[in-house]
Amino acid sequence: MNQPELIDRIKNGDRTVFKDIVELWQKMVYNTALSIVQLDVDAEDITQDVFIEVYEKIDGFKGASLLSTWIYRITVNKALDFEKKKKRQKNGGLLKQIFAVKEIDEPVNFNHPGVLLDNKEKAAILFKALKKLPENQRVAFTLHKVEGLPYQEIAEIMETSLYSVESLMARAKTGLKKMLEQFYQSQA
Amino acid sequence: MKNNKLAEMVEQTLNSMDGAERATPAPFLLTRINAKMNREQPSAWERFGIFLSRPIIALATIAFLIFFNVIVYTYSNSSSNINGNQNLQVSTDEYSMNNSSSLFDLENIQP
Repeated sequence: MNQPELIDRIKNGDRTVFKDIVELWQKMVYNTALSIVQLDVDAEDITQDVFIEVYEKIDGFKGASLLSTWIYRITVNKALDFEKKKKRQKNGGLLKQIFAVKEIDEPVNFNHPGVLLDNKEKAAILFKALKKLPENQRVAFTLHKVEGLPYQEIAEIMETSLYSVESLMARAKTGLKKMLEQFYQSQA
Repeated sequence: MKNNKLAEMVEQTLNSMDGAERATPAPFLLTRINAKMNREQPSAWERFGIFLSRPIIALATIAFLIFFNVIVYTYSNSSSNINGNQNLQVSTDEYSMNNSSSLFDLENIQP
């Protein structure tokens, strides 16, 4: 089923369309969330929350962008919010943040289930480095490399210009190269 | 040569997601979404409790209570000074403390 047909059904008040939406985009949502939060349990939670939000707000969808772009945007925002909330819970309250000795938040190894066997080890190193990138660079890089989206669509998802996405990608690659060089040099 | 190998490793790592498939969520996602949507919403009192337990609300309440106490204390201090003076005046008038009322004065009333 194509997107215009789905949008027509939504506008005609057909609520059964939700089932088709979940079936059509569940992998896209889960894969994006998983690549950002790097934990399958959290990605499952985020996927459910994304589709609940889609269900609640679908009547307000104007069709200004593709439905998939709109769902991508919800997914990215939910995943980033989830990460921040988790970080806040981990750090504890304000008093704990002031008085506790700050621990270095070292990312754990993450193995993406869809990566080819030969690339497993390298992909785990890449995901570890990705966690240390600034948020918007990480999102742009993940959407391009993991979801294979073109820069134009990433710009629409992130509600920014094409030029900004190109710049984010360039900075992400430079940052990652630097981190990876340091990592491999320390391993040698 | 060593630098070339390092650059190659970095490049391979950057491209390690090429050809990767999308990860798949656990089965029965729609059922779980429906279950989550149908889960009972918290009552008004529970939502009020959740609202009150937010750190920013708790801190704001404590700050307000301290401010309110300071205001009440300052106000009661200044008003008790005025009342004290007023009470003194009333007592003075009531007992005619400023008038001559000793036995000597009474016995030696001037004509």
